Amino acid sequence: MKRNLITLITAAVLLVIFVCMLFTFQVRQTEVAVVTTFGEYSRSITEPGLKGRLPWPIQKVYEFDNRLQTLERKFDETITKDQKNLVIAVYAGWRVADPRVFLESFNGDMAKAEQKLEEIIRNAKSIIGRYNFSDLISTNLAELKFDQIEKEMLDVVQAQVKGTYGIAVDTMGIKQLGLPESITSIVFERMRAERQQLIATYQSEGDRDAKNIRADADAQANKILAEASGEAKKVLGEADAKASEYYEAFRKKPELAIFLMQLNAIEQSLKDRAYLILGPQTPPFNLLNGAAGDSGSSLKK
Amino acid sequence: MALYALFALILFLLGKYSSGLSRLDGQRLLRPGAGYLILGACICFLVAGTEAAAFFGFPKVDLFVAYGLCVVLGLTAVETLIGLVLEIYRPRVKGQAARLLYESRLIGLLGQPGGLITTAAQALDYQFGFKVSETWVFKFLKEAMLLIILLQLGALFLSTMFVIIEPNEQGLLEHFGRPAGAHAVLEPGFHFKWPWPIDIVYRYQTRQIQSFIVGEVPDPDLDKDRTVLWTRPHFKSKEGEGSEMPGMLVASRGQIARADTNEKAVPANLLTVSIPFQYQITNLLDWAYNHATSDELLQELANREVVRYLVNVDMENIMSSGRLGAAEEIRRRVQARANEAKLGVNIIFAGLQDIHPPLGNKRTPVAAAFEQVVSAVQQKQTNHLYALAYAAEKIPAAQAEATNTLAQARNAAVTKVALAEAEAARFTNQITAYEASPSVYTQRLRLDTLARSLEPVRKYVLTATNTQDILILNLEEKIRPDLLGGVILPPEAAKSATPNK
Repeated sequence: MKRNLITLITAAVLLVIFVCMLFTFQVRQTEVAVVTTFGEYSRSITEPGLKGRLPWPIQKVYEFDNRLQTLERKFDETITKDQKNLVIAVYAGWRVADPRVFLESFNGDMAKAEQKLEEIIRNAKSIIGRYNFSDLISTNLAELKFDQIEKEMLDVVQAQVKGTYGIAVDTMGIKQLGLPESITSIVFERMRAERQQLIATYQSEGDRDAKNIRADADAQANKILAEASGEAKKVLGEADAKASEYYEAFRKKPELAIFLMQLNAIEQSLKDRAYLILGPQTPPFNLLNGAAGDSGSSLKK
Repeated sequence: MALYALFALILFLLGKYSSGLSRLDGQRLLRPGAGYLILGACICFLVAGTEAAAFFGFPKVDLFVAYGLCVVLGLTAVETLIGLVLEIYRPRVKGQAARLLYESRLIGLLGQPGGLITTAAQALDYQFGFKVSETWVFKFLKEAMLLIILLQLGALFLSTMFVIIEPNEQGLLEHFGRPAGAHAVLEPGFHFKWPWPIDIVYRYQTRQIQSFIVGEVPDPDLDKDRTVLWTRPHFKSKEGEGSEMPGMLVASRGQIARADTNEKAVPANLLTVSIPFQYQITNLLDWAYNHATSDELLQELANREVVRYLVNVDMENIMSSGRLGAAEEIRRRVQARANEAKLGVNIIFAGLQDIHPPLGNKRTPVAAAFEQVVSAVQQKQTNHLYALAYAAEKIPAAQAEATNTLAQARNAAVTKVALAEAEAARFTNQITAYEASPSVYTQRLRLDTLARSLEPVRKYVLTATNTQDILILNLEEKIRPDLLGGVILPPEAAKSATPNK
């Protein structure tokens, strides 16, 4: 009896749960729902809460996330008005705006909706072709039209999806800008060449500055030495002039003065190593002749 | 699908037949085989079912079925392994037939649907060697099993009436899918709520600082190096080589100025950028309800703002003096965009520590070229300093030499004047002596001079005037002065001393 009671209660609880599941459903704050009766649209539910329904297969409930979805797609190569290739990636924020149209357009499949939206976004990227490269990348803020391009793309996409797809695109932006790989390698080469130019400039400037400084120093040094040399000669000249005053004394006996100078010259010239070969007639060596037997005659003379 | 269904039917029929036969005496060995045949039938049936589901627009069913089958086969393997171990320690009872090692009780349930309890009882009896199934504990469990399960389910249900939020979290309480009014956001701690599915709590790590990276993602393996250099790869992607997007475009003032000379040139440079962002969720309702993937959107917005900033800034500037200001400006812009999008986050930090020229490739090493520029600047300064050092040495040396030259000249001048004065005075005195006896005085002076000046000189005096001999004197230094110096040789001796005649 007890076992039957438990079984009965269990069965009743399960039955209540089953009935609740059949006749009610929840719509979350983050969701919208579409109810169809025998496949025909009945109503859209945009407010969250516990809602009633007829059991399957009479009524079917389709629930969609009504929050902003982020769509990020692959890079696309495009070309600017001034014929420069660019690789661009954009993102978009979209949401289900009309659940009924969304269900009819995409059978409620979010992936299919994103696929269609991507095609529209790729088409909108062609707006880049109306602008120059410098409108997208420039150090001059007045020249830059980055925000304007984004807005134009958003306008194009919004106009395209309005009313037809049951979705709304609220935001759109350029996520990445780049260059195709072939151009990238050329840009690398140019960047490197720029650096090489700077390297050569710095090296030659360094050499030039160093040479200038050295030459300037040499010039200054030479000037100092030349001035000193000139000054020295001037001093010596003055000394010569002053010494010449004393030479007046030599005028009194010029032949003696010359004789003395000759003696002085001989003495000076024999100072260092010298070999002197003298004849026997050279005084005082003429006295040596006497040593050979003729000294007496020499004394007589 | 039809083929799998056919397989399922054949295997099922064979399995059931074998299962029936295995109940006869002596046919027990058929039991494991029957179980595996029926398992095969079930798998074929499930595969056919998943194909049917895919046909009707539920392609993901096969994934769940695959996971389920993996679990079942895994359990069977574990059971077989455990059975093998237990078989070793099982007490041997006389007359009891041993089970086959590969016989699975789980799979056996398919062939002998006698109920879980019965199967468990048989297993216990077999393992322990006595009738466990006849003890009062087992009988009680068998009677009260349904009640126990119901109590367990009841307890599980009641446990959904409270929730504990961890310190780094906040909870979002929904009542029938609608935020629960003023109490929708649950702070850390213990909270009561209506049971599932009336109230449901979603947890978010709002207090935890979260982060993401815009641009290149550092490679943890390469990042182990203590030194991060521009010229060494340290990102996951092949930086600057082979990847679709090697770096971000950045404006270049110099290149824009030159662009007029070549219309095809791209007036921009590429930079490798890796910017970590840190954020906290400050408004959980905005974070959870406004966007399906709020974290992804935040990353997109941050990416957009980085790109937007770089296209309007000079490369040289952002890599040097503008770096710190740029990081704060990017953080401010991302915060503004996040507020505009009602993301409910606070951007705590944006770091611009890793922004540099791309590595380039083997043929064109870009980052290395940038380093070489710095080397060139250093070399320029080095040359400048060496030149200054040369000048610093050269000019004082010249000044010193000039001073020396001038001093020598002054000394010479003084000497010259003094000598002239002295000579003049001496000459005046010599005149007196000369006038007294001119010939004697001059002869005396001559001889004094000769004696004084010839003293250190090597002298050769040729005394013979009428000889026919030719004297050859070797005046080289090797002649020792002490042998010949100062010695006057007679002609004979001189003749013999001459080495070459």
